[in-house]
Amino acid sequence: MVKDIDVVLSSRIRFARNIKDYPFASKLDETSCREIIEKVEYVLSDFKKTDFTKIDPISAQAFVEHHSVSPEFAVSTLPHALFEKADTKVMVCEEDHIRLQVIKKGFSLNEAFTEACETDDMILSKLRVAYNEELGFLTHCPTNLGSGMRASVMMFLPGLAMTGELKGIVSQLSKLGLTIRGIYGEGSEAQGYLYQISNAETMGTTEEATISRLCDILKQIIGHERNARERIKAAGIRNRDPLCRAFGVLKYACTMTSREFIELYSKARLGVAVGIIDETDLETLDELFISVMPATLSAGEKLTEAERDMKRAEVIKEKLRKE
Amino acid sequence: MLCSKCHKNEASVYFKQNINGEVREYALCSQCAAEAELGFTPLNLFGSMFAEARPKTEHKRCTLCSSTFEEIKRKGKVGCAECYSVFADELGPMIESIHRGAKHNGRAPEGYSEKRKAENELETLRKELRAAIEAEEYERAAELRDLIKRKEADHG
Repeated sequence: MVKDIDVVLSSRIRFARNIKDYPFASKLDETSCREIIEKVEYVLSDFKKTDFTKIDPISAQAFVEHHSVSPEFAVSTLPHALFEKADTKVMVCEEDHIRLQVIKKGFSLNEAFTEACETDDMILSKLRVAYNEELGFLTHCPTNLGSGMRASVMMFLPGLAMTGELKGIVSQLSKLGLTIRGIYGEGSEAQGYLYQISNAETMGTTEEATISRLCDILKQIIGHERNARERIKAAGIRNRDPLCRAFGVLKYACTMTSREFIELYSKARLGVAVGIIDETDLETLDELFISVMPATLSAGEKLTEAERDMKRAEVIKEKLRKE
Repeated sequence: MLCSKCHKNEASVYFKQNINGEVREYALCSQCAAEAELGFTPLNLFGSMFAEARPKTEHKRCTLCSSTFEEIKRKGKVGCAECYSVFADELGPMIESIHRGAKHNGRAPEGYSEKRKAENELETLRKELRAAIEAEEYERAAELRDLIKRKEADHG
């Protein structure tokens, strides 16, 4: 059972590190990029390497949809590579030379942190990393100085959004030094009620303290979200009907755009989370979410938009009817 | 509509940014949009933070990456790790304002972390020593004092 998956889809820890004596990304040339990739490859010899200069743009975009790399990384023109091992993903030559991240399902920031530290320890003991006692890890952007760490969670907050309580929470979060964003950086409710919440500060406290503070705040949000959902559910058939209808359309539609999918997915997810829909589970829906995103869905094939929408409906049908 | 950055050309790229619920809308001409680098830092928000800082020597360049302070200011990003020492005076006030004057207190590479650990340990022992003296536990205080002296000598 994944912890708190009804509200938290995934947890992520990211460290930014740079190798000493090389300029930062915007000043790197091709030779230096290759040297840096080689150095990291030596340390992470048992990781799976993907050379991004050798893959096509659609495959690169699929890595973005899987949250393995950032959108900026996928389109970078200089040599850049990804190293993966289980939940640990290391982007080399992103905004910083090394962007190490661990993503885990559900509310598991502490587990993600422990795993991230294992790989970080290997990097720190074998490579000369840019560091200074006062400023901490030296990063391309001064906002990441210090720990270079971002801890973030992807939250599903339909209850708070529908009851209008989210606005109040958003304004409090920034006062508490946290940042909230919509799923791909834009904060619109149409994007499936998915929000990313992360720490904004990287200096002054230990990583453990930052995470534990974030967890305390998140636990409260989780509680509020569940209360809001109960109220929505209790309000009767008018609120339950659209959730069940959404699931019905997902199961039987013959063509579907990704925008429509996200809208229906979020309604069905809420239905499953509050126990109105019991034909599928949350993890299945979340896996489905990634598998029908445009680049992942195309899987190397050249499809027109109409073909893609038909294939999307096909994939959804297959996945949901199997359950 | 004119570009909201250069105020000269006709805007052709529109986008919305929502951070912490604060929505900003941008309308840029294609040239300014390209300069904004993929739109993920649409307008250089750091520029304003750097505004107060002025380079002491106009033509100072970083010894490793040859960045000038003007360049760092324009990009909102530092050229290399060395820039943080070369432009310490110029960058100092901005770093202080972003991080509210805090100092690093987290993980560190090997060597640094041992030194920090030793310092933290000494700090704890000193606290214990003060507590022992206040509680008039002089035997314990003497033990602690010797231990601190030994540790201080070990770490130079």
